[in-house]
Amino acid sequence: MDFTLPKHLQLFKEMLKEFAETEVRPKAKKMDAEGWPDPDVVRKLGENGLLGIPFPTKYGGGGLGEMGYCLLMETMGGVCTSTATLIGAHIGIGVMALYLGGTEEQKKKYMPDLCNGRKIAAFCLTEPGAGSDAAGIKTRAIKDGNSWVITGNKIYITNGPIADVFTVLAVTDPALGARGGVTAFIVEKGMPGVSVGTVEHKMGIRGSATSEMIFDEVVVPSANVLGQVGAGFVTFMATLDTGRLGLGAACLGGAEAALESMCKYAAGRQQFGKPIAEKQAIQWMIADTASEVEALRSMVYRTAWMVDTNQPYTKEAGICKLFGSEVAARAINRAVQVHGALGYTRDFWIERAWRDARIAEIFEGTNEIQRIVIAEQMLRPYGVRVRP
Amino acid sequence: MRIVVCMKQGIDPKTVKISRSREELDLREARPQTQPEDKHALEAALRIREARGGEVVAVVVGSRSAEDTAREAVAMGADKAVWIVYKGQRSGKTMTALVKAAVERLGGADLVLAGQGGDLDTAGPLAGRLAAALGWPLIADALRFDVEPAGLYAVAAFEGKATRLPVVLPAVAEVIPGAERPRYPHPSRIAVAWNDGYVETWNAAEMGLEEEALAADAEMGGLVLGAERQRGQVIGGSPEQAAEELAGILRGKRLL
Amino acid sequence: MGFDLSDLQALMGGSFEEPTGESGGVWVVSPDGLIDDAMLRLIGKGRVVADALGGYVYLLAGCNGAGADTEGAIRAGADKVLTAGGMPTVNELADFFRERQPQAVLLPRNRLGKALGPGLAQTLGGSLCPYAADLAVDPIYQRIVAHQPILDDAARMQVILLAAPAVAVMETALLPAAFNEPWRQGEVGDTQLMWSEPPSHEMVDRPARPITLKTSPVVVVAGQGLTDDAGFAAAMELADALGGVVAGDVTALDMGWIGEESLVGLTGETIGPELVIALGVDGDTSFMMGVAEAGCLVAAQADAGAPIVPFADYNVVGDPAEFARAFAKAARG
Repeated sequence: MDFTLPKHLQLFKEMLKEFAETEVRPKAKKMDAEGWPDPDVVRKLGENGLLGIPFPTKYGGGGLGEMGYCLLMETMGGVCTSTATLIGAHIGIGVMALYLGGTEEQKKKYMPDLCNGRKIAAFCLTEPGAGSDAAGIKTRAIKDGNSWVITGNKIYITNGPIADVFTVLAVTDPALGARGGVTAFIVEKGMPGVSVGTVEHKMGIRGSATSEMIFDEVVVPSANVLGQVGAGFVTFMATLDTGRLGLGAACLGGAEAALESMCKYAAGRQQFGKPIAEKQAIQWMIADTASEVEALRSMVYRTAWMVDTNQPYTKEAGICKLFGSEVAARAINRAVQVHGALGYTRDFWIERAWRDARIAEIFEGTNEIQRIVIAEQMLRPYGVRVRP
Repeated sequence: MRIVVCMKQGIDPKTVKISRSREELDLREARPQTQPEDKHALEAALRIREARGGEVVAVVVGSRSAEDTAREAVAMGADKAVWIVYKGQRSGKTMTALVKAAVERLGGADLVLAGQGGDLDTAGPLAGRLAAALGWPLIADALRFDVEPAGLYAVAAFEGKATRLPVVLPAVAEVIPGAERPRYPHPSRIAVAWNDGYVETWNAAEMGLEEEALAADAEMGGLVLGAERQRGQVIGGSPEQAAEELAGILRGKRLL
Repeated sequence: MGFDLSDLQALMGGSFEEPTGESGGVWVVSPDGLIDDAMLRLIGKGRVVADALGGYVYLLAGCNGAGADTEGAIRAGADKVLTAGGMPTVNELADFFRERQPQAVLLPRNRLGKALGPGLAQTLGGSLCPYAADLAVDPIYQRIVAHQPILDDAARMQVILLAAPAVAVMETALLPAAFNEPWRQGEVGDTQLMWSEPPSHEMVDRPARPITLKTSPVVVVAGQGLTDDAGFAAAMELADALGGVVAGDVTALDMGWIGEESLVGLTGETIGPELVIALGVDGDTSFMMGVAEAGCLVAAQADAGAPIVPFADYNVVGDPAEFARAFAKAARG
C-alpha cells in the first residue's frame, strides 16, 4: 500500500493552493457579503481548466480523475465554501450527469464548453414536493413528434441564475414511476420557456447563487434526451454518488482550515500570561479535531481511489458525505470557540465558515438519507430491505 | 525558433530555518521547489512562442528530485524538457558547462532565457555566464519581450525606468519579474507531464563533458550569523531625535 | 620536520614578496568611472583583502575616470588608480585582465557590475560570488571567501572562491564605512585603452508591477492613536517617503481612512513585508498575528505598557503623528 499522491497530483495540489490563495481567497468575503459569485473567479476557474478536472481530455476535461476532483474540492472547501459549492454543482452533478448518462454526441457537443467555463451547468432535481423523495417529482415531459415539452418548477437549484446548461429530471411515463418512467433532459438557457424564479437568501454559502428554475412548456428536441428515455432516475442517482464524495472532500478542506486556524490562533493568543494553546481545554479540542480530520482524509482519498479504479463506492460515498459534513461542522464549531469573540465577528472568516458548514448536513442528500443509503448497503447481504 | 529556458530546483526558503546553536541551516523540513525566478523566464518564453511560434525547451540540471521541475515546466506549457542528471556540486561554472553542452546537443537555440538567482541559490544567475560561454550577446534585466513584424524587442529595466532594444539572435537574456505573473500549470498538461515523451534524461558523459570541465569554481563553507533578533527595544528622545536614530538603524539594515 | 617558507607565509597571513608591477593584486572596477561613497567602501574592502593576501589594490575606472575622486580613492586604500576611455564589455575587461592575472576582481552590485561580473568570471576561468556582502581571506589556504546573504540576510553563507581570479559582485550598502587615511600614497595612471562607447538607449515606461499590500516591501499601518485626519495624513506622507503602501487596523477602517482591502490583521490581510511601521497601534492579537511574518516591526504609539511594545523590534513611545512627520523627513534624508 502506498499512501503518497502520484507526482502529477502533488503538482496539481500545489497549483490549486496557489490559485486558491491568489484568485479566490481575496474575493471570498465580498462574495459572501454580496450573496453572489464573483464573475472573475468563475472566469479564472474556467481559463485554468478547473471546471472540468475529472473528465477525460477528449471532452475538454483535465483528465485528473476523481482524485483530482477531490483535491480541487478539498482546496476550495478550505478557502471559500461558496466557490466549492459552485464547482460541486457544476462538475460534481451538473456536468457529471451528462458525462455518466449522455451519448457520445451529447458529450462532444456540450462538455468542452462546460469544462472550459464558457458555460456553467446546473443539476435540476429538487421540487417543492420532491427533495429526499427524488421519485416524487411532478415536472412533466410530454412527447410531441420529434421533441418533448417540459413543464414544471425546480427549487433550490445551485448555479440556477448563472447556468447555461441544465440537466433536468422529468416524468415521462407516470405509470412506470421512478423505474423507467423518469427521463433526464439537457435544457439550454436560451430555450423559450426557461426562466429563473425566486433567488434564495441563504444563511451560508452565500457566494453561490441558488434559485428556483421555471420550465414553462419548454420545447426540447429528442436529441436532448440524456441517454435513454426512462433511464433518468438511474443516471441521477449514480451522479449523486460522485457528488457526495466531492462534498465530503470539500468538508475535509473546511475542517483542515478550521484546524489550522485553531492551532495558529491558540499559539498566538495570550491570556493569563501565556498562549491559550498551553491550556488543556484548547489542546483537547485540537486533538479531537485532528483525529477526525485524519480519519476523513483517509476516507475521502480512498473512496476517490475506488472511483478511479472502477469499484462500487455507493456506501463509501455516503459515508464520506455523512461523516465529512459532521466532522466539518464540529471542527468549525470548535474553531469558533477557540477564536473566542473574534470567531463570532463578521470580520473574521471563521464566522462565515460556521454558517457555510451547516448546509453540508442537508444538501446532496440529507444526512438522514445517507444513513439509509449506508444501512441499505450494509443490510442487503442479510436480506433486509432498507427503505425510507 | 527554439527558446531554451534554464530552470533550477531550489529550496522553498519558507521551509528553511537557521540553527543558531549549530551555526548551520536546518533543512529537516526543507521542501524542494522550482525556483520562482525561473518561472518568470519560462513565462517570457511561452509568450514569445504564442506570438511567433517555435519551440520552448526547458533545461534542468539536478539530481533525482529535479525531474519534478522538468515535469512542472512541461505542465506550464514547455514543449519538452531536458533533465540533466548531475549529482555533483552545482556551482555556476558547472551549471554553465552543462547547459551550454545541452544547447549544443539540442542543435543550437535562438534564444536562451534564465532567471535571477534565488535566495538560497549559490550558483547564482546563469545568464551572464552563459552569454560569455556561448559568445552571444547578453540582455540584462529583461522584463518583457515584444514580437513585432520588424523582429523581436526586449524591454529591460534600466536605472529605475526601462529601455527597449532590438534582440539580435542568437542571444541570452536574464529575465526579471515583469508585470505579469507566471501562469499556473494547466491541469490537462499536468495530467500528461509525467507520461513518456516529454522529458529527455541526459547526463554529462553523454554530452562529452569531462570531470575537469565540471569542476566547481566555488564551494560552500559554514554560515556567518549576525546578531539575534531582539524585540522590544525602545528608542528615547524627542520625535526628531528618535526619527534620526531609527533612520540610522534601518539604513544599516538596508531597510530604507 | 620544519617549515618551508610558504607555510610560514600562510601562517603569517601574508606574503614576503614585495608586490611588483600590475600583476596579481586586488582590482576594484568602476565601469562608468564614478567614484562615489559606495565605490570608496568597495576600495576599502579591497584594501582589507589585499593586506591579508599581501598585494596591491588597483582601481580601474572607465569613462576616463570622469567624476573620479582619485585622491579619495587613494585615501580609501587604492595603491594605483588606472583610467580607461569608454565603458568595457565583458570581453574587453577580460582581455585587460588576462595578462595581469588578478587575485580578485571586485565589482559593485549595480546594473553594470551585475552585467559584467558573471561573464568576466566565466571568460577568465575564475570563480564568482554574484552577491557578496563581505569578503575574507582564509588564513590557512589564503583563499578568498565571500559572504553571500541568504534568507533576506538572516545569515550569510560562506562561498569559498577556488579559482583565480575571484570575482565578487558586492552589495556596497552592506559594507562598512570607507577609509579616509590621508597618509596613504598612491599613483594615478592611464591605461591608454579606449573601450566601447556605451550604447544609446531608447527609454520607455517601465511595465508596472502592481504594488499591493501583499507585495509591498514597506507597509505603514495607521491605527487609533493617530486620532484624526491630520494624523492619518502624516501616515500617508511617511508611506510616500518610504516608497511603501499605507494600510490600517480596524479603527482606521471604521474612521474611513482605508478600505477593507487595506486592513491588516487576522480579519484582513496577513502580511510579511521587510518593514512594517505601526503608527498608533497598541497591538491586539488579530493585528500582531497579521504582521507576525514581518522582517522588522517599528511601533510608534503613546503607551509604554501597550502589548505591542515587547513584540515590536523598535518602539518610539510618544505621539505617533509627530513621529511620522519627523521620520518622513529623516527618511528623505
